Amino acid sequence: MGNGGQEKPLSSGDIGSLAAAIVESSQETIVCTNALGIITLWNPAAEKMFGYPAYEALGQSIRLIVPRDLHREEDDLLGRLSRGETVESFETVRWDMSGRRLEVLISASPLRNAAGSLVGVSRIMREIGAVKRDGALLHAIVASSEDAIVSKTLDGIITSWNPGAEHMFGYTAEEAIGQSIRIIIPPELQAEEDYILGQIRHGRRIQHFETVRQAKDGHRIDISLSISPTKDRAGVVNGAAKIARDITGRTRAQSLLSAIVASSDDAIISKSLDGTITSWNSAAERMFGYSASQAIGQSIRMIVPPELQSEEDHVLDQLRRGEKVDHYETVRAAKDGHRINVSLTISPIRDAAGRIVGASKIARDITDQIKLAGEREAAMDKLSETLAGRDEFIAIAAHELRNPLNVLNLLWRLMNRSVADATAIDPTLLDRARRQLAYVSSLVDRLLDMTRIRSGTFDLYLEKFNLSELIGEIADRFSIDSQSRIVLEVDPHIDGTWDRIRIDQVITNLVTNAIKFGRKKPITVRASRTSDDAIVMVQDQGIGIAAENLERIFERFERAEVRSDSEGLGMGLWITKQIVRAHGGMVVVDTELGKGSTFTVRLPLETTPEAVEWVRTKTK
Amino acid sequence: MGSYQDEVMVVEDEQESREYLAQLLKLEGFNVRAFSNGAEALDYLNGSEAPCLVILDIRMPVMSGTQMRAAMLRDPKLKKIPVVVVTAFEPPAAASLAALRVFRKPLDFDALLGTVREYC
Repeated sequence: MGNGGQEKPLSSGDIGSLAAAIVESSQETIVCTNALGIITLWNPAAEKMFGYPAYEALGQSIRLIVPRDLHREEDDLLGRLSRGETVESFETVRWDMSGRRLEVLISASPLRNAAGSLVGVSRIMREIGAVKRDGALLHAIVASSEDAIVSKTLDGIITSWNPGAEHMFGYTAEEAIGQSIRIIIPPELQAEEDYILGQIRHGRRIQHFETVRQAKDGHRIDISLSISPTKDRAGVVNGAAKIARDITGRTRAQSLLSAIVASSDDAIISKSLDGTITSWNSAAERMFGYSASQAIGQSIRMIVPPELQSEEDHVLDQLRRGEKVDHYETVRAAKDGHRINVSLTISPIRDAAGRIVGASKIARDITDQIKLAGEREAAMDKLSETLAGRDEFIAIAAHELRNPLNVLNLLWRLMNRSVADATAIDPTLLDRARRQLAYVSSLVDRLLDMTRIRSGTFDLYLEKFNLSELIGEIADRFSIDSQSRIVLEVDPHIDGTWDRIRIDQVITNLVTNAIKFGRKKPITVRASRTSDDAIVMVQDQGIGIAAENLERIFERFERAEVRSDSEGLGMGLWITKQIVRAHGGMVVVDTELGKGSTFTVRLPLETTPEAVEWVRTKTK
Repeated sequence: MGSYQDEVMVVEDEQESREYLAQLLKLEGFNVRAFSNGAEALDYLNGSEAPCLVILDIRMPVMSGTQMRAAMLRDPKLKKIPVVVVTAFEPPAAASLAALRVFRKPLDFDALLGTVREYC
């Protein structure tokens, strides 16, 4: 072949040497015999396959490598070829020098002379044993797989259908094979198949394609498809193998989970171990003010207030150790800077291999909860204060009731003594007893007043009357054995509209106090009027009121401190003030320690129901 | 120490209580000297012989029973005078007064009379 010019056709000799070179270097086993079956060619690949070197094989019968039970096969081959028939490649068995049986695929071709008569046979042999063994394993896998494994032609005609497919789609292999794969594609998804076949024809694989298929009974199945082209021996795509996995359960669980995450009122966030946010649900958007697109990829530290950054280090450390953080109450910052009280539950996220790769974080907004707890605490404080006040009030009330009861008790003792001694009972004793009883009754009334005023059910019964006359009556009541003389300086023409019983109570109260603290010196009661108001002043020359006590003398009741210097004002002044205010008036005190006190009451001449209502609303 | 061994001192701000108690004790044969607050009573004690017993109210204007009793206990001459307390408050209010007995109002006169007879 040395000077083989390109323009010059190859000579038959050239062709012969080219063929010899190809045969020599071929990976395929090539063996030729003459028409009688005697080996005439044995290439190096044949030496390798069967173990016989060429010098041993050449000249021997082809039966050298044909098992005894297959001798007829070679006879038939020669017969058919000599008769001019063509023989397709066929699978058979040969044995090698050691007697090991080899499964081989043989392609046999006739060698003819110029006259066309058969002079020999060439055989190209390929070992297929390995392929077949793999095939058996594959078959077992396909048969036992829970996944549907289906093959089809490029026209979409089903060519195989495993038990998994029977189970999944409800068609038997018999029913399915020969049908179009389109029988399991829902009407609205038929276009998918065109796409899939297009990909397959181009030799492309399709992996984990999630779609829906339809079973024989019409029910839909969520599947994940993996489709690979199949090729013939020549490597040409001739169809597709399709693995379908039922993911109905998985998608249901996933969609349930994502629905829960999406609709949760709790912020649900995931982050990587370096604190980078990887997911952010809509509650997180609402709670922290960042949208998912703003948050994802950012550091979780953006919602951790500056002074709490070390918390995040601690949390990340704990997560790296695989520990869960449960109901941890802390504070986070929203986008606009406002702080949110949250309860955090943080759990590690692991990959398939069990390595911790991040964390999921559930944040519950407990601001309202904390606010409620605060309100509850405040309500509790107020309640205990009220209860303490009530106890104090009961102590004072008991004290005030015991004094007149003591007087009555001693009076009874005195009268009893008179009866026992058969002496005449002083008639003034009976009168005094009556007054003490009246006093106890008024104390009980005052207790009820307290309750009514406090509960807001304090009503005035308004009538027109002359205040000057009322003051005269009150002064008369005190004139009998009062330790202090009462001096009246009263304008006789003070007419107005008030609650008579309540105004009586107010003046009686002030006079009682004046007598009690008046050191037996005269008490002056003055009454006058302006165009709009009545003014009543009760003046004593007694001990006066210390500046530090002035503020509290109108309180509900003074402290029941036994240790303290006793002013003994009781609840009277508080009620006095409430009554005057209910009439739209006011009461003030002017006092000098050691010189006495003057209480001044200013009452509008006409008390209207509207005014009463106004005052009540204001004072409540 | 003094010699008014039959004189009972009553210190009570409430006029009628004071009057009737004094009257009843007189009817029982005791001399009674009555005051309407602690300051008046203390003044009298400082200038006179000691009584056999002081019947003391707690809550009074000018000087309370508590204050008067504290002054008596500070004074060696007065601290040995027997004192009973009569109060409208609950008895614990009189705990610091070092009293022989504490009577609550309304007063059990027979019980008080027993104590007065014991000391006077």
